[in-house]
Amino acid sequence: MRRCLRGDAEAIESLVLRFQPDVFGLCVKLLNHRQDAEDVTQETFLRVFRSLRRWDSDRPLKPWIIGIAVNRCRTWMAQRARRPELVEFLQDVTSSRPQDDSAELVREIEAALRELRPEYQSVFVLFHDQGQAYEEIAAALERPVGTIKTWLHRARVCVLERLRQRGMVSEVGHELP
Amino acid sequence: MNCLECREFLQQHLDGAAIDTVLVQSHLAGCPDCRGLFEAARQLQRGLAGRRVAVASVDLAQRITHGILRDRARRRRRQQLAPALLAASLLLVVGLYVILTRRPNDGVRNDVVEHRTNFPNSLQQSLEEAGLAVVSLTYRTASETADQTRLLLPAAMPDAPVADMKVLQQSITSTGPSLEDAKQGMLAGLEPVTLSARRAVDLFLRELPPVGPDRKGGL
Repeated sequence: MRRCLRGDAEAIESLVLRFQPDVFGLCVKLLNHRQDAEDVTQETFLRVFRSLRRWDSDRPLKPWIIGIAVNRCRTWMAQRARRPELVEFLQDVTSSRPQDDSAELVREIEAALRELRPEYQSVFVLFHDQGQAYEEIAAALERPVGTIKTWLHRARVCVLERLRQRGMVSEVGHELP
Repeated sequence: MNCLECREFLQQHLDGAAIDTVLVQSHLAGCPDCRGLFEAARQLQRGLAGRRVAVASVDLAQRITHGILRDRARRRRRQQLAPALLAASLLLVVGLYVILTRRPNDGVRNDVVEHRTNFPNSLQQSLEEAGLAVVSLTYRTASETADQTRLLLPAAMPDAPVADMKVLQQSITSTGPSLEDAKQGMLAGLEPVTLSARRAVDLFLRELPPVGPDRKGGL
């Protein structure tokens, strides 16, 4: 950290490489656009290094960085809402999973997430896509754990209701998910 | 079990916690609404597992690092220019104060000026002082900025004349971004000085005594 503050390029790149996958992954899931995600990732790290002196070293670094990334994504989404809608989503992304017939299901889930309130969307993506625990999300967003649980539960209910309305519930069985 | 409890179990299940499946199954058997919700949850988990994993560009980390270093250098240059700008502004304020407090008495304001190039001595002196103050502060600001600019030139600039034009061109080209940044910094830094100097001159010209009725106005 001291080397980063002194402007050591290697130390800076090392810190970027350590957190870039999490930040980029989050930005991609929230923005649904790879180029935007790269831009916001760059902006996030720029702000991280501008504020590094003010970071409290008693707090873990990752939630702080994730919190900055979430805020940058929200700002970007608000600005994008004022521009013409982007149709080029993740089409140029190399998938690490084989193509299957659940493409429509994925599209419906992503559409449902876009309709959520920004804070609900952030919490949903951080929990289900980034695999972060309630406590980590609470630290990143600077909210109580109880609030994070409430937001996530409401987000899930909204997404599930939308999937039902859109006819994505194919069979009604008794099996648990 | 009622629907509220069943939905709470669903949330716990989606959290990854273990639940009493027998109890839930017995409720689902008799509640189509909760059954639909659980089926939607199954689809949700299937869909989440099928979401694409985006891959960043291979050079993203490098681009981010360069961006951070450039931003850092730009902020440092601005911090170094700030004291010079502050000094220049203070000098202007002092110069303006000297001009305004030493101008001729208002009682002789309406006197006719004999010739438009013959100013009263005190006004002549004030004019000279103001001119010297503006020249001095502009020279100082420009010198300090030029010193900072020299620091930006890369160490790779050849000292001796270079026979190979390609090598020289490469050296010059590689300094391009640094000089461009320096130029932008200088322009940004000198703008308030220029504006203040212009305002001071305007104020000064407004305070000049009017010329006689037979002569045209102005210097």
